Amino acid sequence: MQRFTITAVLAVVVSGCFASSYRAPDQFVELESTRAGAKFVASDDARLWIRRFTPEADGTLAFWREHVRLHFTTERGYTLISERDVKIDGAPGVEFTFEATVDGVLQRYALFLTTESRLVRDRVVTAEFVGTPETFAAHEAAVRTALRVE
Amino acid sequence: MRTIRFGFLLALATVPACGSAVMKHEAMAPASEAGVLADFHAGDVARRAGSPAQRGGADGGDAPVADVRKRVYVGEFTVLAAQRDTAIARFMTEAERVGGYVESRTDGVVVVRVPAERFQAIVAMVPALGRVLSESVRTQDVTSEWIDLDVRIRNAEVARERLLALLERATEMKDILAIEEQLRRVTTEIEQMKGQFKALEAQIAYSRITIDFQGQAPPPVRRATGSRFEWVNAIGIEPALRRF
Repeated sequence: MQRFTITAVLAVVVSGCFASSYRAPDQFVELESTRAGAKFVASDDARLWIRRFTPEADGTLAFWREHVRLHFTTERGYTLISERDVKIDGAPGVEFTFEATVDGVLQRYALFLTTESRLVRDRVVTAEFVGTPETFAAHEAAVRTALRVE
Repeated sequence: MRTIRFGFLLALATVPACGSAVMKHEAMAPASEAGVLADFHAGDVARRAGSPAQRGGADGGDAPVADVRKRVYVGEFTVLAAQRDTAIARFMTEAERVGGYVESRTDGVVVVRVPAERFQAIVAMVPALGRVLSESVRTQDVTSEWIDLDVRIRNAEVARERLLALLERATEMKDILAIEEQLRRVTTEIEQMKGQFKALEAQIAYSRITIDFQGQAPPPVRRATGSRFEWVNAIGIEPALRRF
């Protein structure tokens, strides 16, 4: 019984970790927060979506970086605006900025990518920030602050 | 004899930038003109030395020539923008917002002038307009050019004053015509130099930023089924817009 209680408490703590690790950027509200991710939206519909994935295969950050860039630029037709090394909440990561027209509207998309070490398989953590160029520009500083991007 | 003296003074009055020449003529000048020439020469040398204190002596205590360095900032960029017209509009709006203005726009090449103190801020926002393909930011120190023009203008103005004084004293038509001819020449030079000075001041006060916007219509977005890894297919603009 005691073991069950400890396990249950740990499960609650662990599941709450992700939700509490990132706060809503200024002028955003939290729509949803689970162990798998969190969604934040601004009044002008700019969106921030933080997710955690367990990939089908082990891959380093460098591997995922190359794959994501190629996938978005060659498969999806995105225009790569910038790419740089960053630290996301102290962890090594990469920040991409893409542009693409979806449903006739130009969208700017920032993808923050990092990995989490796990015993069995590393996980990938993504933070996606989407908006029109205007809304993107209005919120990008607040988003970087909330994600603790350096 | 009077004509010779006027001719001599006329020659001296119109060579304000030639210090050594003034020295030679001064040594040969009659005693009655020595005082005028000495003042003229002293003022000229002082201004050429360029120190604020010296400059104030002959010109009635004008402000110092240059307390700080005079610099011209120039930025040139090539930017790839998915929506070129939108990016151009943003750039021009931002330049005007900080007190600048659009100097020209030819197709996708936009030249703006912005207050020098806002140059870095505008340069910093260029990456937000699209993908920067090339970038060149230059600084040109024009302090010596600025001082040189300033001194030449002041010397020429002193020369003009001397000529006007000579004109008042002239009685013979030949002298009057010669002085007036020199006055016209010096006045023209002053106007030209003032024009150059004004243009230089404008370059210093307003930095030039040129952006060559290259448009690239993004190809149609394909379905996100290309990656072997499901998590990669799950991210992107489309999921963030449709499954959020």
